[in-house]
Amino acid sequence: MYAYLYDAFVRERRYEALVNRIESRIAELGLQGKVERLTVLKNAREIVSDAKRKGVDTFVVVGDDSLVVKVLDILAKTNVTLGLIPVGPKQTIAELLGIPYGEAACDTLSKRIVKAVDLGRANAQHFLLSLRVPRPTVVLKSDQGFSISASGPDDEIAITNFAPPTGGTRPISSIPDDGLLEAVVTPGSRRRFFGLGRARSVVSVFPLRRLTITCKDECLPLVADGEVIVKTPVSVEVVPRALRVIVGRNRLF
Amino acid sequence: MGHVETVIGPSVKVEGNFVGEGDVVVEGIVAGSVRTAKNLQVGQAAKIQADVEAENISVAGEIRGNVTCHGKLDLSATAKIIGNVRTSVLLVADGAVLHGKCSMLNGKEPDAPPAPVEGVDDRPGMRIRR
Repeated sequence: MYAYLYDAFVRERRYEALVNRIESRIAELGLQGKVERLTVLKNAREIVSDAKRKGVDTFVVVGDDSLVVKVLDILAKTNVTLGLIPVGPKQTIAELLGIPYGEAACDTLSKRIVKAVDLGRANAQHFLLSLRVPRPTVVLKSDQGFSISASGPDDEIAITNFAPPTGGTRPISSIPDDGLLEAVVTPGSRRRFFGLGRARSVVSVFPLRRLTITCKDECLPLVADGEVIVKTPVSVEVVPRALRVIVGRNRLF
Repeated sequence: MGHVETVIGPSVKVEGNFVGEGDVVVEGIVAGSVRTAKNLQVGQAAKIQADVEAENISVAGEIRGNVTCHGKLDLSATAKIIGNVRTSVLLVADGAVLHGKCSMLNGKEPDAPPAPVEGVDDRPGMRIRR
C-alpha cells in the first residue's frame, strides 16, 4: 500500500507540468495511493505517523532532500519502505540512491529494488548523509578509548554515513551499508610552503561505530544532513540497516 | 564489508588506545598505543609515542615505543625507532635508526652462548702463561 507526501513548493506553477506527468505515470504503473501535501497545518511527522497506523508499507516523498530529512526520523527502524520522486533543486540523496529526476523515478519505484541502509544517530536525531562540525575546536572521543583532535584552524570535520567516493591516491568511501560511520578531517589549508602544504592535504579518516563530540568552551551547533541542528555534547552512533529505501540501478553503493 | 582503512593525517592528533579497523596509515601524531590486526604504515612525517602492534608494519617516520610485528617489519632509510622490537621478519634500509632490543618471533628460542672457560683467553693469537 502506497502513500505519497508532496512538499509544499511542489505546488508552484513551474512544477505543475512535471507533477502532472508524475501523477499520470503513477496511474499507468498502478502505484496509486493516498496523497498528502505539506501545509502550515499539517507537518511531515503527523502525516507519516498517520500513514504507519493505517498500514502503509511504502511511503513516497515527492520533493527534495529537505523532505527526505524530515521523514527519516519517523521511518527509521520501521518496516515502512521509503521511496523518492525527486522534484526541485536539492537532490543529493536522489543522486546517491541512483533515482532519476521527475517522472522517470516512477519507473524506479515500480522496479522496487529495496536496500536496507545504515543511518547515523546524533543524540536523538537520525541522519542519512553526514553530520557537519562548523569549527574544528572539538574533540571526538571514540568508544574504543581514544580521542581525535584537529590542529588546523581551518580544518573541516564531518561524520559521514553516505557520501560519493572521493578521488585521489587514497579515495575515501562512505557507503551506507557497511555498519560504520567515518569521521573525516579535511585540512583547510592547502598552501604550499616548502612542501608542507602537500603534507597537510592528506585527509584523515576514522571508521567508527560510536563516538562523542564535545567542545570545551561553548555549546556548538552541528548540522545533520544540511538541515537539522544538534548541539554539543553530541553522542553519535551508527544504526545499522535502519532504513529501507527504494534505490535505482545507478546508486553509488 | 570491503576494504576498511584508517588514515591519521598530519593535521590530526590521536591520544589513547587506538585500535584500528583494517589497515592503518599514520602521517600525524599518535600518543598512547596503536593496534591493528592488519597492516600499519608510518609515514615520514609521523610521530608515534606509543606501543605499536600490527600484522605488517612499514616505518618511514618515528616511533617511540615498543613494536610488535607478527609479519614483516620494514624500516626505510628515514625510519627511527626508540624502543624494543619483536617481529617475525625484519628489513632494515641503509640509514634507519633502531635503539632498543630486537627479538624474532619465529617460535624458536636462541641457543644460549657457551659459558667462558676460566683462565683461557680465546682472542686470536693470545696465550696465557700460568
